[in-house]
Amino acid sequence: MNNELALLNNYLVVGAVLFGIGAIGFLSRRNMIVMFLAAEMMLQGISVSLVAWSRYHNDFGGQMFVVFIITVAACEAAIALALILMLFRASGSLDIAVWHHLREANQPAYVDEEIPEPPPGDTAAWPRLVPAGIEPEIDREDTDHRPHV
Amino acid sequence: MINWHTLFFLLFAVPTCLFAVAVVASANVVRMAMCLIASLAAVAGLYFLAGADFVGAMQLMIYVGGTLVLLVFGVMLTVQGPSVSLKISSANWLMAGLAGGALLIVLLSAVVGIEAWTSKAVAETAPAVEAGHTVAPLGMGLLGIRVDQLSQQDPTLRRGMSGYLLPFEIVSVHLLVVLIGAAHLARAKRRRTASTPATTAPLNPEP
Repeated sequence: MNNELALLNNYLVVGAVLFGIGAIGFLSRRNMIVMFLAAEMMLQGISVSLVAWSRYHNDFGGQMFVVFIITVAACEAAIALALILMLFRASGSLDIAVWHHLREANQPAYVDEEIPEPPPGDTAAWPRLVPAGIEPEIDREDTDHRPHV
Repeated sequence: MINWHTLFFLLFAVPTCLFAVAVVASANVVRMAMCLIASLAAVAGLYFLAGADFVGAMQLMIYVGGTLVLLVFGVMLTVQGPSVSLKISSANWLMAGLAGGALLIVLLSAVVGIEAWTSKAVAETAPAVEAGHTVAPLGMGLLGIRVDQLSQQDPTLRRGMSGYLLPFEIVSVHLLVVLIGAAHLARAKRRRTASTPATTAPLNPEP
């Protein structure tokens, strides 16, 4: 029975290591996808600790929290990847420092390396709805592009 | 005699930590994603070992099977050519290592330092969780009934153990809204031609 008793301590150590490594990765990288990976790892560190507490207290609340954490992490993954795709299309780079002008107005710029030049403006346009009741004009190039719509 | 529990714990915990280190130390995005998949699969093994079978299965299906596959798609859609491999400066490493390492030391000293978590007396009085039967209690808990607390006599305590129906509904609607929003944000754009003038301002960061 001795092995059951050391469980909480061991699991908390693993959770702390995952959280700390995730924090190091999140702070040291500038690639948005890698920062997202590190954030997922920090969430997993918390989840490991919660499962260990759940077993220690013989209560299902901790596992329930982990269920909610996984659900919210799935939401976070979906919205984060959509945002990363949008930012990548707008700037042509995954570097988070490209967006440093979004900082607060009174903060100084912190850029440790040169940011590469953004590519010339994008040539894509958002799809738009035609006004109701009017027959849309058929774009020749568009129909060539999507012949089976 | 071999201590089977310790053996299995090490079997899952050591890959978890090693692959986590590999995620941070690697310089290739695709390799990082694969290391994270391996690390999270090992975490699922830890969940099974702790008797949380439903959470472990969810971890395998949603994280390893869903979220990270989505992530690999994101990598393939965005990363091309030179930016696949990334180097970071040693100053960044130093600062992040100092901050993260200090946090890690605080957490580990808390884990080791608190007497009750390492002493065996507390754990002996607590009954061990019956392993492998967590699906029904978790499902009833999501419906608002805590089946493991039905024997609670104190009415004041019972009121606080009313289950998780409201958070479940909130997180369901949240998931739906977020998925619709993500599909809207990531929708495909088409080429701008002469007959389709730009209706939105270009998303250029430069003023």
